[in-house]
Amino acid sequence: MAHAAGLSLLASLDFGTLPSQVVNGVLNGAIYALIALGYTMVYGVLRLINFAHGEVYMLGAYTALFVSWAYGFRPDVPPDQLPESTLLTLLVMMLASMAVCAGVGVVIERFAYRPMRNQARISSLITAIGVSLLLQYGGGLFLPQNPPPTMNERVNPYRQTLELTLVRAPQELTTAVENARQLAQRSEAAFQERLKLEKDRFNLSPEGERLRDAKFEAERQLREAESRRNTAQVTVRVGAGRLAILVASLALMFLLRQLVLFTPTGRAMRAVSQDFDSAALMGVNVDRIVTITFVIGSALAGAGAMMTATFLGTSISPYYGVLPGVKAFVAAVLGGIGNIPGAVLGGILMGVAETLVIWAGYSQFADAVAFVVLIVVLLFRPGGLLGSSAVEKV
Amino acid sequence: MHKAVPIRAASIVLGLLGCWGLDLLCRAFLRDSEQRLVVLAGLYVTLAVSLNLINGIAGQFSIGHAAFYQIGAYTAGYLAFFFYLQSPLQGVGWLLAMLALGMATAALAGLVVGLPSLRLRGDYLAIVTLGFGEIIRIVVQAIDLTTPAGEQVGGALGMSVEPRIRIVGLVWLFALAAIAVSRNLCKSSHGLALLSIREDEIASAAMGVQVAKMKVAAFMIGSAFAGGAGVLLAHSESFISPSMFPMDLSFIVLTMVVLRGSGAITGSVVAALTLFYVPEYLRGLKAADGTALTVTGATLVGWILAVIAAVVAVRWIAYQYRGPRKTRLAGYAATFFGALLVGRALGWAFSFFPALSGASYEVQKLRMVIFAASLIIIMLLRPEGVLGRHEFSWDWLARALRIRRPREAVG
Amino acid sequence: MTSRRFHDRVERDVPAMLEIRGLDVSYGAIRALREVDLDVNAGEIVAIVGSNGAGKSTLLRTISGLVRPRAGKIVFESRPIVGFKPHRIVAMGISHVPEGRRIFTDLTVWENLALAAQFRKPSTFDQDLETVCRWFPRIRERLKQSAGTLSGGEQQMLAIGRAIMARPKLLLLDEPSLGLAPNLVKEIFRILQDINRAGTTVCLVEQNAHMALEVAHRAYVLETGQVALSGPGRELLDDPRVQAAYLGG
Repeated sequence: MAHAAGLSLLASLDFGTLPSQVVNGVLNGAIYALIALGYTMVYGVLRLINFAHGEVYMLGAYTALFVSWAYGFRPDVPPDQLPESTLLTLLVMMLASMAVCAGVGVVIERFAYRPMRNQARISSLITAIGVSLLLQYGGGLFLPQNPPPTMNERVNPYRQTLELTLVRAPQELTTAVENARQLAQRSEAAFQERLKLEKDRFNLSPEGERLRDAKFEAERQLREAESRRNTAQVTVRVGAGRLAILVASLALMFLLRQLVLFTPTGRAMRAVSQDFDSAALMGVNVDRIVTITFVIGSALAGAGAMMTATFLGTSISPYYGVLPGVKAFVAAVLGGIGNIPGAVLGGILMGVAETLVIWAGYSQFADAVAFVVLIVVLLFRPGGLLGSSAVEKV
Repeated sequence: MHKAVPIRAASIVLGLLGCWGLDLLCRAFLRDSEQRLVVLAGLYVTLAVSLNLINGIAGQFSIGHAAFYQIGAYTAGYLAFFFYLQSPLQGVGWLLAMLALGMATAALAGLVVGLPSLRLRGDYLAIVTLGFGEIIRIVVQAIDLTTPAGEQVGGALGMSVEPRIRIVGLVWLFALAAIAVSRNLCKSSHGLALLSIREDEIASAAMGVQVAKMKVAAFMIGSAFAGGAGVLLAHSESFISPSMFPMDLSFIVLTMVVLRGSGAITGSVVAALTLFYVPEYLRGLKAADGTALTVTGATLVGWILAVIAAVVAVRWIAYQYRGPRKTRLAGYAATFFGALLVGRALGWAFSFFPALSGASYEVQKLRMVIFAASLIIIMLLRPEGVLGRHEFSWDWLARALRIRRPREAVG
Repeated sequence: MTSRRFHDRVERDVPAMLEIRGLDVSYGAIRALREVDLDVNAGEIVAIVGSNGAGKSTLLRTISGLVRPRAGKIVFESRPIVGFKPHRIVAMGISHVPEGRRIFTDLTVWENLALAAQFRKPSTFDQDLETVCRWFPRIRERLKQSAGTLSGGEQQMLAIGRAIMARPKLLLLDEPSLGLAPNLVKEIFRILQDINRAGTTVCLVEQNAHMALEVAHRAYVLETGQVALSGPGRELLDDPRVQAAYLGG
């Protein structure tokens, strides 16, 4: 029974689109990775789950929205009077989002987390939850609710879909499709011709029934031929906006990697995340490093928020950050929290897993798959994929 | 030990009588909507006390408690939907049967979540419990049962639960049962084992505590009570939907547990009641003419600034000031009254700015903001929990009322 | 008491490099240090001995700013330093080698050393690295290695070398002999004496009282958070009370 269900599920999947789905999953994952970096970096230095990170992300999306309004992309402007959207516009929006998020992150750290640093960890966690709720509900009070999703339609210059055929189907399959299509067209034409002669459309003569069945058979063969060809050829279709997200995310992650591995500040960050006290004894200004960590993590979230709001067109609300935040945190844990490459890996895995679940037709479970993957991974590797399996006490 | 027996019996009788009395009082004096609040408060107390068992006493960091609540509620919901009409049990009998089944289902779920807790600790366990909570919510949301009549049940829109049974006394009796189980567990050798796991897992394992068994047991008992609360909720509200069990609910219950001192049951109860009633109070605030109470932007900004100043001042007195205790207390009092004064004054001063005096906000919409802000402020001022570790006991009550217990009579 | 007479002598000299008076430290309700008076003169090796939990590590952690005292003053080169952040205290010239070495195992040896010197301007990194490598030739061979791959003795050397990179005037060491083989302990103490002769003042905390008292110019005995005895190292080594309590004879 279950076996049969599994088979019918397999049969219903369109494997020709699988590569596209995987690529799109990676692109979605890039955003998760950007947000997850903030979680993982903060966790690395403070051992704190920064629940307010998702809300910082939300504020980044609002910042981008306000900047786009300032540029004249307001919802009340008729479409034909909109200004030209250039790379510079986008860049200014992104920098503004990053700056605002960095500022918010620093303020949160300074006034909510730093006073709690010597307290039990659960106290900082509750404070983090408090900050998260405060920003959500405060945002609900003071920020425009569900502004019309003008961002994507109006600002995004990258709206076309790119198509790339990686592997062409063998010639005979393509010819077979062509032949089948001609046959289908012919039998359709023949059937339509016959239909004109028929008195009753719903009660066909034997000749009419024969032509109708022939037409259905030809159409079935066409579908089969197409599916055979699609399975053999690999085409990737992605939105240009998503590709822009990937490029920008990769650039930011590369910058982060260089910073962490090769600058004195990055070295100090790694030292602080390994041993707070010892780093202080080496003359590292720990407070400054924590501030820098919040600046970088929040700025990355801001960049991610600006890009999702602009390129993907999700409508912005004060609760915009909740789900991406939780999922990105799951991604960070999946990769091994505190581990920067782990966050990227975890984010991308999550993006792919989610896209594949939607592709398989279970979109209602898409939000759950993140957690299922997480639980399964943690059962086998309690420290996450790339993390050490060090256990800790709260 | 035997001297405790009469006291225990008296406590049980007192508890039963108290709940019965509460029930009678509610029926006599409260409107239906007010009774509902009393029921919800009891459920929150149950949730807080049961999470306290997992989190405070056994030290297992769970932040997905709403899942078990939801499991209980939906167990009751689905079973009532399919079987209530054919069931020989009706009314309260059915409710009690559901209570048992809901607790069992939730305990089973607790077993499932408790098992990973053997391998995971700290934040990793926390995120697994959070994930479990989300999985349950999403799965429940995705399950759309279609009856032969084509009626939709469950899913995102929720479902109605028949019959509607709202018994204030029963809810509070259940809360008392949760409290009694927690308390007795704390005093028993099992409870000591749990506390030892919280303090140092490896050391307690070395002392012969069956760490794995105890941890899972704590998870199961805690979940069972949350599940029972869910059953009571479903039948009391007569309607359930996935949106009644959001992540925020888990957070709020967790907050109730943390705001008490570490592992304290009394604190959990008081915190649960406070955190439940304060937002409800704010929701109910009305202006003199019966319309929703509003504040102007000027007043709001004034109070925000005053509160921030007060928090800074109190923190300074608590952590920097090294003078005598009396001056310190005087400082707190001065800060409190000063803040009241400053808040008023600033509100008045800001009212001259048209941008601020023009904006107006409904107080009841502000309630979650106030809730979140007070959470942060409490953590900033008293991170160790508001009530500390003090526990309620008959001895304590006697001391407080200056009644000397006749020892001879008991001994 | 020895301690009283001893302080009198010190206070008549030039002011001590590090001067601690009436230091009280508590963790919650537990008082870790009470009324501790202690001096370290420039150029000395001062040892602080005592049993487990006597407050030795707390004393060092308070000097270097990781723990805030409840009362008392700490004066370094005639500047009070209570309440300063650890990194400022390092910048003033106090380096602290923490107990259990606590090197950064995820960083390379070179990065461990670079970290300690990177915030000083103008950079004297190359010179300092040369100095450290001269004291600890074994470090030079392992610069590119991850610090986690070092042996216990090498890790201790790295920990000390890392502290020296900050060019301290006063070097605080917490249990430098912990978990090391006897011949390594000897080597470390020999190097410490060399470092001291080269002009760095050393203050070390030890459970290995014999070794510490032998190299120390002066020493303090800490018992349950209080200074029980103090005096020249040699003198304490012969003191019957010290012998009974810490030297097993």
